[in-house]
Amino acid sequence: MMACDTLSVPKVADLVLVVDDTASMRMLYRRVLELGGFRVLEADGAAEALELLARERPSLVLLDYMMPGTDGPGFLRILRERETGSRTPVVFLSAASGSEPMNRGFAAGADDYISKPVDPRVLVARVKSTIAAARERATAERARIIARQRNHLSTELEEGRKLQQRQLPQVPIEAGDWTIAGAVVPCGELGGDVFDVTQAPDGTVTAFVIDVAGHGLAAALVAASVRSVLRLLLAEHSPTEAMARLNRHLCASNEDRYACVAIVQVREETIEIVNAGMPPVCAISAAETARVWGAGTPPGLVPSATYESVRLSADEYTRIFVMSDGLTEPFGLADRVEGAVARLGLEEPWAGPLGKDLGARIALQFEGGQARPPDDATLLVLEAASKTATRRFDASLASIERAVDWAAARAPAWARTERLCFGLAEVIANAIVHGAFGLGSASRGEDLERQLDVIAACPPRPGAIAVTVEPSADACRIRVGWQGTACPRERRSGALPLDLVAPSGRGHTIVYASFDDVSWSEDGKEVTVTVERL
Amino acid sequence: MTGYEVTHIGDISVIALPARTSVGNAKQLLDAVQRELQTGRRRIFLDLRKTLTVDSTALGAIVQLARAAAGRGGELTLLGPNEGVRRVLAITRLDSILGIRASMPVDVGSLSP
Repeated sequence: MMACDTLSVPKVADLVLVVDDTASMRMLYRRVLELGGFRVLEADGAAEALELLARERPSLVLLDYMMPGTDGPGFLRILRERETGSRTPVVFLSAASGSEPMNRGFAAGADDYISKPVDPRVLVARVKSTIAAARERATAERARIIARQRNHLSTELEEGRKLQQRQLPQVPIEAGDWTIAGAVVPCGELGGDVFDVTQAPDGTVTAFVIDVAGHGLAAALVAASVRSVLRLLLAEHSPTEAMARLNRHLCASNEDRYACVAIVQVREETIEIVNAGMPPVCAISAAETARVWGAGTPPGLVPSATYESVRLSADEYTRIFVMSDGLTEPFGLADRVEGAVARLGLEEPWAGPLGKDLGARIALQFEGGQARPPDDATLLVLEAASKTATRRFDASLASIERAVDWAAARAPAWARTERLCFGLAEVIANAIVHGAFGLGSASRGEDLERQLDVIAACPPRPGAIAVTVEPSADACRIRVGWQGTACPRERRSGALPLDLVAPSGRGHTIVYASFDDVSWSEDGKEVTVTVERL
Repeated sequence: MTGYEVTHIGDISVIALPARTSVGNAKQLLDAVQRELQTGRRRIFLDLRKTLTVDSTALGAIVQLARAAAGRGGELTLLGPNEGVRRVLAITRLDSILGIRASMPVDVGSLSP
């Protein structure tokens, strides 16, 4: 390959069309102009000049003012009328005296006017300067056109960006027991990431994120199309079947495009997640963070691909995050969604309205909001509503763990502390043993073994225990009530003497040390324990 | 009900407690330790390294077992309680009467096979 710097483009001399009815004058001008470095064409009048101009594009026309037939101004008017694009500069040569001819010449559209007799050096200089001025005008005009086109394109892209953002669901969305929010921060005006949320008449809520390979307008168009297709498919099919059909649709469309897609569907008590190529979907419960990896190739790559879903209990998992790799890969966290969750400040549930500032949180990840992300960055959050929930449990030893887990899962994440679980286990065990079974602490004495046998022999009492979780922004109250024996009034206090040897009093100490507040109903059959946020 | 796994390391009986040790499984704890004491073993370690919560009934069982071991000239030691369990032992002041160790004594080797 030849190096660019060895190429040289020879400069082509500017072409000047000399229009004059006098052959000797044309000859004179030709000589002067050729010596000045120009190429020259000649025409003996308006007719020949117009013929030549139909074929050639001279840099300048040197025009005699007085010619038989159509004179100089007459020819120039015709020329100007015929010009559609750039304007050919024209310089008049005239022997006429006075200002009238000059005015007529300029009025007809001349760029310059030279009086005869002509000094050859003046002629060359005036021709050069007129060509240069015309070039400058043309360059400025081109720049104006380009700027206009660029503005137009920018406006269109801005309109496209607004439209794409408007097509995203307005968040937060309250859907059943869940609040759903999401945001897309594209790396350009338009992005290949979208998210969407649908809700079926039976209450099933489905949310998904699509990340089309590539960026910009093409990716945005494909993303919009994939979104529409997926919405239709999800209305008729399960998430796995919808993903499989989307895959076949994209493979058959020959668009040479593929998309990473993650679907989260909440139906009654089950969360179903299908991940095809996105970073792991992150589901948070009181006890753990589950990561749901991709189980199938991104739709559009392999026609025969199949997809599997992961099912989680909506009773346990109360916060779900789906994010595109634009929020993980730039930070070297390709598969570490928890890291992104922490950076985005999402470890704690929302204090305010969920989702209003998600876009801002995402943007802040990139040079504190001063830079665009290197890739489209998208986040979808599903958060189980922190609402008051009540559930009845059988009075049986097996219920203790179930009731504690159920209540802890409904407590806000900030309240899910070790002391909540210790305290709740104690409260619920007491409600069952002392309240529902009616086995008073005083009767336990020292014979714990016999006491445990008695407890084990107690028949379960269906629905005798009611647990209510009342979360709020600042506190989480848990009420535990029971059918059976009331707690004796003298024991409704944290100030019981603690006997290190006898079991009596130890449970009370644990309960009162575990909660910020413990209060009793008047009838002694319900205790309310509170964990405060601060 | 959760079973209690017993391992013998030297003269020590190590009994692993479940994640939630409570009134629901305290009876099995009593039975497991008493079996060891009745077979003449005197050094009992209750392995709490996987235990998340202990309720007051289970604490009562542990106190009773510690007394039973002492009565036979032996000792009962809590092994590796987590922060939460330690806190409960502290607020019920049982940390002052129960032996607590973070790990196994060096002279009996590791618990891991």
